[in-house]
Amino acid sequence: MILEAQGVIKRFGGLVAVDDVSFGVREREVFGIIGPNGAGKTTLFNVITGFYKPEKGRIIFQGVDITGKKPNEIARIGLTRTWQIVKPFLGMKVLDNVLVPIYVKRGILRGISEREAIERAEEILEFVGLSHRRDFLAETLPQGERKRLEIARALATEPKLLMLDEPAGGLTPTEMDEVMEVVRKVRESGVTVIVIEHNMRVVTGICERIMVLNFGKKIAEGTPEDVARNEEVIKAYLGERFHVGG
Amino acid sequence: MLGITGDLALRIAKYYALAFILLLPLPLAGDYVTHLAIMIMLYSITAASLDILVGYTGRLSLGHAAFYAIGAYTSTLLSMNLGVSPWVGILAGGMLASLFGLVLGIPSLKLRGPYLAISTLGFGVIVQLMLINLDWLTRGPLGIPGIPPLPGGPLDLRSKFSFYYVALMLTSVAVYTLHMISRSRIGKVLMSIREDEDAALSVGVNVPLFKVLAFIISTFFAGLSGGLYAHYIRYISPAMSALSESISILSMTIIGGFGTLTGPLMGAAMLTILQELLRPYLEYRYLIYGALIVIVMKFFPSGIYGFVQFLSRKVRG
Repeated sequence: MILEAQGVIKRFGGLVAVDDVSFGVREREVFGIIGPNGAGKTTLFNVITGFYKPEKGRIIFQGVDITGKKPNEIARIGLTRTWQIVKPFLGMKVLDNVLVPIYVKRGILRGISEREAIERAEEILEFVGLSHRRDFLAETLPQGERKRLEIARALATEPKLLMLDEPAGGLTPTEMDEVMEVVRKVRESGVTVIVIEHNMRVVTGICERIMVLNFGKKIAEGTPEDVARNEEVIKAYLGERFHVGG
Repeated sequence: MLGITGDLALRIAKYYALAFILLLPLPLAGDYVTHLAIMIMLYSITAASLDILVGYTGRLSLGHAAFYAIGAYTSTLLSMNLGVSPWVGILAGGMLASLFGLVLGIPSLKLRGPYLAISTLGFGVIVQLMLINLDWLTRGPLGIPGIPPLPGGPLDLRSKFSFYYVALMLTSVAVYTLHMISRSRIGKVLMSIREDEDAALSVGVNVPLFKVLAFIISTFFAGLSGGLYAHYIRYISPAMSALSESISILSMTIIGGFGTLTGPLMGAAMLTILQELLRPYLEYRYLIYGALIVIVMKFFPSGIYGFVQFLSRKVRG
């Protein structure tokens, strides 16, 4: 297991956003987290990546307890996330968006030479298919390219585990295919991926295993096929009325 | 190193060399113009230093004049009471200013936007009150006259003519250094914080550390220019740390075009000259600054610098 969450609880006042969730992610797999709106998926991401502190539970990454560590520390040891509402550095060039994490990882004062840093950044842009945007300001990119820039910037931190929050959300079918292609390539390069996704075509297309959350609780885990047949999952998504018993 | 290729450093250095040469004959225009030019240069360093904080890191400061004043008082007191060379005093002023920058920078880490602006404003007021009330040290509201001029070896730096050249040299070096910092790896990391703090954190940027670093760099240069001012005008008073001074400096940075570094230099020149032209209506100065900021923000968010860029693109077609 590259990542293990043990009994994670996160409350906001009276609301239990993540309620005693435990799961494990194997190395080099694509692990999906699905669930209706408000199920606690993004909150769980925020807890794992250090943006929220859980009330209870532990997060173990590569055998190290990272519960309560700061987001930048977690990113530096190889666990990087992207954002559901993308947050590219809008006023900066595409190349600089990717250079910042490279500098942070490989040395701001010493370390990697400027030529090497730029070469690396260019490789990553090539990898996600954004080479042609190298010198554009990030704010000029359309949504689909912003999503890929977000992945590129996360890859520049040299993650072992990449956590994508709805990488295909709000995209056209063509853009979705491009993002899925990138996720497959990331995985092939040896990086483990956790992905939050709503679109079932994307989920079944890239995930090997899925965990389903509802009202902060884990209600199912397994292969996409298993989960799609799970009664509680059907109930959560479609409501009691569509529940076909027996 | 630091993300500046020799190419880039050289290209920018060429602009500075050109400006330097063009500005060489200026003192021939007489003492009045020379004095104005010196004031513009001193404000240029301060406005450009504030740009590192406001334009690059996205941290609004309404107390920048306090660091300018700290630099001025430090250098003055060291040279008058302890006989330290003003050159060393100016450097010490920069260092003490950045120490205060650190002191202000750490508690204001968590503050954003207007809250940070208020805390920096408060800091400026506190510094001014201290300068007024520690009268055993600062002579209070009377200020300190008779500050020694900069020793210039064979040059008499009491004359505006020779001080001009020293100021030109120092301003070029200081602003060039700030320019290089803004284009360096540090500058890019600071920009990432300006763009989105959470995104910067999520890719491994130690956001608090770099925010404090921005304060340290910015206030160091403000302190330096304050020291230079003290040994040029040779009289200082607590008014240097007044809110109105901080607002003047911020206006220069914003109207010139923040986040460009060249913009604040233009802003310093424009507002210093404007202030001279408006001398008969001095009380209305801030009214006009206010109107200018609103107009610039509305039509040219990237300031005079952005406007000039826009024009030059038009001209080139």
